[in-house]
Amino acid sequence: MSTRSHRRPPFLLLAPFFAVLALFWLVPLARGVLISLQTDTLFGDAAFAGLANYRALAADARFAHALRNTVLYCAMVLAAVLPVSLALAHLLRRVWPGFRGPLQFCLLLPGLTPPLVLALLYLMVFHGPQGLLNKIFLQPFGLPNLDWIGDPRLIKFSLVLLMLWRWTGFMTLIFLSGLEGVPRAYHDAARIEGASAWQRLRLVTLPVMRPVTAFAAAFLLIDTFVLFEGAYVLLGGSGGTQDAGLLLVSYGYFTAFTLGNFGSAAAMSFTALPLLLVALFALLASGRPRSGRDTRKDRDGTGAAPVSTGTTGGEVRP
Amino acid sequence: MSTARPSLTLRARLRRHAPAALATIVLAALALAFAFPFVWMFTAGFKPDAAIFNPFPLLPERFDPRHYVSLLSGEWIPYPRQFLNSLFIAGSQTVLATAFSCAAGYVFAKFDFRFRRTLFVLAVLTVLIPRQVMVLPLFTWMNDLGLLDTPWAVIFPGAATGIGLLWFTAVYHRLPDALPDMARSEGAGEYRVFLITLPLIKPALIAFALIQFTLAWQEHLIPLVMLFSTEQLTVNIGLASLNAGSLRVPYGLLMAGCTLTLLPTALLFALAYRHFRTALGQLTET
Amino acid sequence: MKKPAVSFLSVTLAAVVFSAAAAFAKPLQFWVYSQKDAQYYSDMVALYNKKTGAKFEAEFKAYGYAEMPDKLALAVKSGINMPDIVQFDEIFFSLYLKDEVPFLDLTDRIAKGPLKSGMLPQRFGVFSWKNRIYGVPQSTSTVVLWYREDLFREAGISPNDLRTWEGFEQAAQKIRTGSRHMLAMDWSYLPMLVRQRGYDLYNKDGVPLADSAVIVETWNRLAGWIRDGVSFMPGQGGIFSPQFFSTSVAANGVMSIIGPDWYGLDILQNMDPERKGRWRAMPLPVWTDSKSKGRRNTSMFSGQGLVIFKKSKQTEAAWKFVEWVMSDMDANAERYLQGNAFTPFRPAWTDLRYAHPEPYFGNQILTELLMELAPKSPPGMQSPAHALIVNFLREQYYNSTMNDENMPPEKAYSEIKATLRKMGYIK
Repeated sequence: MSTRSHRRPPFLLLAPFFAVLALFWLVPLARGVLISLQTDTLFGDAAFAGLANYRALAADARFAHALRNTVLYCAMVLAAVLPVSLALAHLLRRVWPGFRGPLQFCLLLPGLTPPLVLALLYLMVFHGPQGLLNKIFLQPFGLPNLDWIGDPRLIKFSLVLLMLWRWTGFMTLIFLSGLEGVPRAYHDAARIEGASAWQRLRLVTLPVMRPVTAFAAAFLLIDTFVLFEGAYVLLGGSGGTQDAGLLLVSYGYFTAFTLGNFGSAAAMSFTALPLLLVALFALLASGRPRSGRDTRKDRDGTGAAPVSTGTTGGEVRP
Repeated sequence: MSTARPSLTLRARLRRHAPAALATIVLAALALAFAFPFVWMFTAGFKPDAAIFNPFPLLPERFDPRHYVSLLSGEWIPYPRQFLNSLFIAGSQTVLATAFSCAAGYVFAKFDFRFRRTLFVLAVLTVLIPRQVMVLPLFTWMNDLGLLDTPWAVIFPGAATGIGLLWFTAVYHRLPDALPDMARSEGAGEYRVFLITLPLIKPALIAFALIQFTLAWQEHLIPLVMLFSTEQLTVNIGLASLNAGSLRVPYGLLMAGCTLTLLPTALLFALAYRHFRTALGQLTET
Repeated sequence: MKKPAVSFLSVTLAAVVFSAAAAFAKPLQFWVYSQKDAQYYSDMVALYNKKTGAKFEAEFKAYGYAEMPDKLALAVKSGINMPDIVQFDEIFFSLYLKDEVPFLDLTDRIAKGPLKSGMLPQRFGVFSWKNRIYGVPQSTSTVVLWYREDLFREAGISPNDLRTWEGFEQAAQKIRTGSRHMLAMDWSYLPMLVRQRGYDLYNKDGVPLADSAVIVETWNRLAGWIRDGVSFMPGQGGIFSPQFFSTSVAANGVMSIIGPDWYGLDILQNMDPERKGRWRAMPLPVWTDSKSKGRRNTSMFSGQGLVIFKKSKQTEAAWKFVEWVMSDMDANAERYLQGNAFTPFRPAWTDLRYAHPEPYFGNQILTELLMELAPKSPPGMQSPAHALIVNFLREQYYNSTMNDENMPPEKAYSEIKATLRKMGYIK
């Protein structure tokens, strides 16, 4: 690992990134804030409205509902995708080497598809008695068909299933590398001390993999909170029956494009932003190694953590 | 070398291989479930429209290339041209985003300076804003800049990504200072030092490029909003334009188009898989 | 000697400037929904120029059913790259009624031409607001009952049994198998049947949900059909989704569907080619109760039309084309033959091109039926809340009211009304 230098930074290296950021994001962002402070006039000049849109949001029950749904949905996705991917990564380590690549590829496929393709494929998987979910997983076992999209109790699960399908492959890949990065010596030491497989998982693997898990969780959080594709694919931009599937992004889309209220939609996103920011940085912070670890290198003086891939050298710790 | 008796060897062999076999079977079943819709999509491109929405029988009666021919001939949409547009846009975005994020990540990881944290937060902030909100002001701004209906209106916003910054900051954070310090002691300037680090993080560069390309390839809202002329559209928007509600949608054609659209990202992943794994390995090193 | 040089120069300059100006006069931007529509309208532009000697130029952009309204909203909000003419669904049209209407007021222009007397007056309603007409509809959207003649025969049902909705419900009893239903349900039946009874989701001032008693009663009747097994609710996407056709319809589970003319002509023909020759059309059964006004055996639903943007720089050229394409005999006939839209322009009905047997519908001469029914169709109304109500019905509530005991139509209705009131659509 490295520590930060107090030398003069090569600022020119920062320049391109921040130039693009300033020019293509911050300017529109500022304008977006302005729009959120204006009336929702679609055709004609919008007047300055101050915080009216924000005040209206505070009273908007549907917004609160969308916020709740989104938080719940994010939590469900994290709770589903991370453990499943971790489990699959474990399994993948045991698979015969030749199979590993093709299996990974199949799992990754859903992550590579454009939203239009997903929308069409959803028709295959979720829809009706002939949908694959019903046809393959329920009917052969004599279970009744479920209305995956229409039933408000099921919508969130369908959304989570969609996310599982989409991101498990990618997360498994990340966790696989993470698992391989756990030094063998740690496991050996734990085994010598009599730890069971579960205990090793809890006390060795997971703590060591915290940075990886944090990164994976952050990626998922961004995707579920910000990207629109899932809800749009299943519900066509609406909230579904009784708004059970209404997420912030879909409500924002609805407000902007179906109602033509661009000001309110902007206000919506800026209101939710602090929440997301806090969540994201909390996740990232949780993944940062504790300060004690970083001093290891300084003690060595050579600064050599090996740069090669994860199959471990036995680094026996005193 | 053990001289095991034949019967033990068989049982022992089974026990040794059982976990691998079990793991393979479970994963294969899962992989099949994951990939099946794509197999369906692939075969659907060869079926007549009416037969498409029944998943079984899976294989068409005969592999009729009619839809592919119609698609590539530009009869409905100028698909080849739109495909190239997508390649150009996604490719340019990838090159720029990788270069810019890499350079910025280096500085954030290796140096301390005033407002470091603030700038970092600011950069990551951009990722968190849903596209729907940015679309209107971005649209008017692009018009002011005169970039509407050009690929640059899609490329430039994508050239700065918070995910890229997060990625390369983490990558550089893990890069030991040995080689850079050595270069510095030999009198190299900071910019030269940066260039020297690049070969060291080659897998991370490739991995991120892959991620960025995939995300850029899948973009829908920004290309839809920024592009107007049929020849400028990306392949996603072009295919979407075939979806005219439920009236006269050429589903077979759509399936063929979607199958082809999947190819670049799938191919790139297959080719760069090893680098991807290496990069992740480096990142997750303790 | 310099003078001729100067005058020659100025003439050349003038010529260059004029031709440059002519080149810069951009062709009209014409936004349509699909490639097929783009094809039809570009053919019509060519025909228009040929027949009238005009030099009309238009560029067609088809962005897709969901994409086009998004792009349009953005264009109108920002004022950037607004099209000149848009082929619009009347549902999305309502979005633009909340502030100043961005479309050209066509009322006076229509009054001066053939459309005033020729167009079916009821159809103007869906593109009107506050007594001004902003668009010209391209189809009658007359509602009929599409039915499977072969399944009817098998069950011993004759169209004569279905003169009233009571007769319809009775005939449904004759169906024995559990997987077969008399009718496939859809949210669109609510507005269609309410209109059939002489009411609407809006009153003539665009105030939504004024006729509460009738709307709720109709809604309850529909829910009753699900309960009694007369009808069933298809999955997501309803009777418009391809899955519906490849499963329920293909399995002969659907005996009839209520739908406008374009539903049968366009969707059935394209999505259900295997059942060619077995579908027919008949008028709707009538309501016999005292609240329903008149014994109307048809209704009206949705449809598309052309609107012109106020800010277009070529409004007159645009209008001339629109007026022509809606009143010219060939243009109307082509719209039927190519695009399966039956014209609301009555003088075109005498055109023999319409009066041919439709092989898909067992050689029934559909247009005869449509010509008989269309004049009886109820008027269409508009409201700024239209898109919102459609969204609520289709996405949020209708499904529940059919399946969930905890959400009866009354509750859904009052919730929708309360939301509209909170959003300011109902004072």
